[in-house]
This record gives sequence, structure tokens and C-alpha cells, in this order.
Amino acid sequence: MGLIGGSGLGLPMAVEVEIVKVEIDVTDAAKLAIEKSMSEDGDGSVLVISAESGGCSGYLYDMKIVDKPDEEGYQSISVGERTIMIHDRDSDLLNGIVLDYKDTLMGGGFQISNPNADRSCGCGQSFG
Amino acid sequence: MRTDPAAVGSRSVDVMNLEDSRPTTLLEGDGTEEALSSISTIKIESRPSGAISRAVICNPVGKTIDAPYVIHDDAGLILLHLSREKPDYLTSIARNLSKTGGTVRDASQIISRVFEQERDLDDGDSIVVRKIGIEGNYCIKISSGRRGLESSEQSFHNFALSQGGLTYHHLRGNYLPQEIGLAEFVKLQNGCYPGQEIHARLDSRNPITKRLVRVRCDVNIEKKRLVTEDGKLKIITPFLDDFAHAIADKGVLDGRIDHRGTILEVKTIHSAF
Repeated sequence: MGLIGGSGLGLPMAVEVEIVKVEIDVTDAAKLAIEKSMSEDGDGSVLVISAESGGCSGYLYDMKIVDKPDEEGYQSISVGERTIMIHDRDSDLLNGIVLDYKDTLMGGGFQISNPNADRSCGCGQSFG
Repeated sequence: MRTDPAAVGSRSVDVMNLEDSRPTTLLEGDGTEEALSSISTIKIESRPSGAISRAVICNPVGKTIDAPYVIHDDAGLILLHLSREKPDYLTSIARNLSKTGGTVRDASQIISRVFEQERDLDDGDSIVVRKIGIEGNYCIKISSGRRGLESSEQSFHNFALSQGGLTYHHLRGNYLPQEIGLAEFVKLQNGCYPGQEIHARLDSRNPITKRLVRVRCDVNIEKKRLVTEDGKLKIITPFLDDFAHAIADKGVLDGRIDHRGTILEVKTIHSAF
């Protein structure tokens, strides 16, 4: 038997996160890179950008191409023929980001510039 | 119930059962271990109900902001925070857990923790963290429901300073975990966590030789750096009833130090509770 549990036992105050309407900028280079990356995926596929806790600076960016999520709580942003989705829970951290793509051998790939970040890691994948 | 002052080494700690009123949190849902591990210096493994782990949380420059005991419970992970207030990093855990239906809840009104001497231990319907304190004489007993014991901040501070416990003085983001008796919980294998880059550089280039010590002195010395014949001693807490904590260079050995006529008794805190 655990310390917490049993019938009629309630816990106060869940921690909530702020939800805002997300607006992001996607550069032309990033739009081309998204089209290229998703060229073999069907129309039902979307690009999900999220912020996970962790990384040297507190949060990590994550980008995944997945089938369009069924669950509620995602905001959709159209980018050409494709759709980027961001979960409400990440909206305050990712609102206003600029998604770019750099085609270089060293440190190339998708780059995110985030106006909400006080700091970022040298690898570019972590922010806080 | 009164304690034997000699057993504690402090005349101010006169309460045998001392309740700690610092916040507690319940992490519920799938992936709680992963969510906590992502910001902790050490990986939190999935363990059976009743098991106890410990996390250390740092800021991005590697300085410690919390070192909660983690109680594995049927309901989820219970965090016994060492910070005075509910810490901000819970928001980032809540963000991760909410994506899988999990939640982060305040458990302070349900979980209580009481410091007791080992010899009076009665397990009962509770979970116990054994052998805490600089001499290993104490335990933390965690149970559901308030017990109505004394929970004054002053009493807890006296106890913590005399027995090697961490207080808000240690956890304001000013000290590396290795400097405040938490070196055993820094595992670079856990991967990227806030402050990991700093810890990795220190590990490879400049291993930390400083350590947390308890200083006993009957003269009230203000928080400052003392230079002794053997090295430096930085007092980081106020003196409470003759005890304070300090960070000592490796040249400062345990024992008595004569600092310009003032006698200091130094004892290493190997693992701060």
C-alpha cells in the first residue's frame, strides 16, 4: 500500500502551464527543407515541434514527423502544403520562434531562434 | 519527548521529533521517472513502491537549486523538496507529464516528514530514510497525514546545521552539488540536464576538491572567507547555536583549527541530507 491513495483522498493544486496562441516564422530555406523532408510522407503527416524538459539550459527542442495526432490540445500552423503542430502546453515557450534551415556540413540542419529564451546551449538544441 | 543534547551535539536541538514543513509534490502518470531524470543530475530508475531515490536539480550554470528525496509510491513519485518554496522547475515537469495525461500536484497537505532518532524508530505505516545526519543517528519518517508536531523553521535550521542537512542557504543556486555534499548524485552518464555541460567540464579539466564541512565555534563568525594556515574555509550559513556550514579547501582537514586565536572544530559532511 502506498503513502498516497485510498478512497476520498484528494490532492490540492495541480501545476498548470500558460496556453497562448502560437505564431511562428518559417524562413524560405526551412519551408524547402520541410517539403524535402516530408516528400515521401502522406497528406496526413504533420511536423510536430515541441519543448521537452532537459538539455543543458533547461529545455530541449524536439521535431518529429508523425501522423496527425487525434488528441485535442494541438495548434496547427500551415506552411505551404504542410502543417506544423505545436501542443498547447508548449505554446508559451515556442510562440514567436523563427524556424530556419542551414545547409552546412558543420552545425547544419533546422535552427530555431527563440525570443522567449534567456539562454541557449552551444549545440542550439537546448534553451532556457 | 526530549532528546539527549549530547547525542546531537547541540544544546539548541531539544526536540526529538521534528516536523519538516518544506513542500512536497506528487508526480502522477506515465513517464514520471523520465520527466524527473531529464532535469536531474542522476537518472531516476523505476523502482517498487516504498523505495527511495534522490534527485539533484541544478540551474544552467550547474549550481544546486534542490536535492529532493524521491519516494516511489503506488500513486507516483513523491518529491520531498529541500527548497523553502515550491520550486519553479515543477512547471517544466508538468509540461512533459501533461502530454501523457500526467499531473504535478502539491502533496504538502497529505505527506508529512518527521526527523527522529533511530533508536526510537517505529516504522508503522510509513516510509523511512535511514541513517541521516553527520553521525548517522537520525532518520526521516514519511507518512500520510499531519502529525501536529513542531515544524518551526528555526528548530529545523538548528537541527540541519548540527547534523549535516541542507537549508535554503545551500540551495539558492550559488553552489555546485559537489561542494555541498551531493557529489555522489552527479552522474554524467545521465546525459544532458541543466548544468551538465559545466559539470562535464569540471570533471575533465578541474575536478572539484572543495567539500562541505560543519564548523563548530563558540564565537559567532559572520558569513565570510577565512584563511587559515592550511587553506580556505568559506562560511556559507549563519551560526546557529555554535554550528554553521562551510566549504573547505582540500588543505583544511577535519579537526580543530586555530584561526587567530579562535578555535574552530571542522567535520566533513560526506552526504548531506
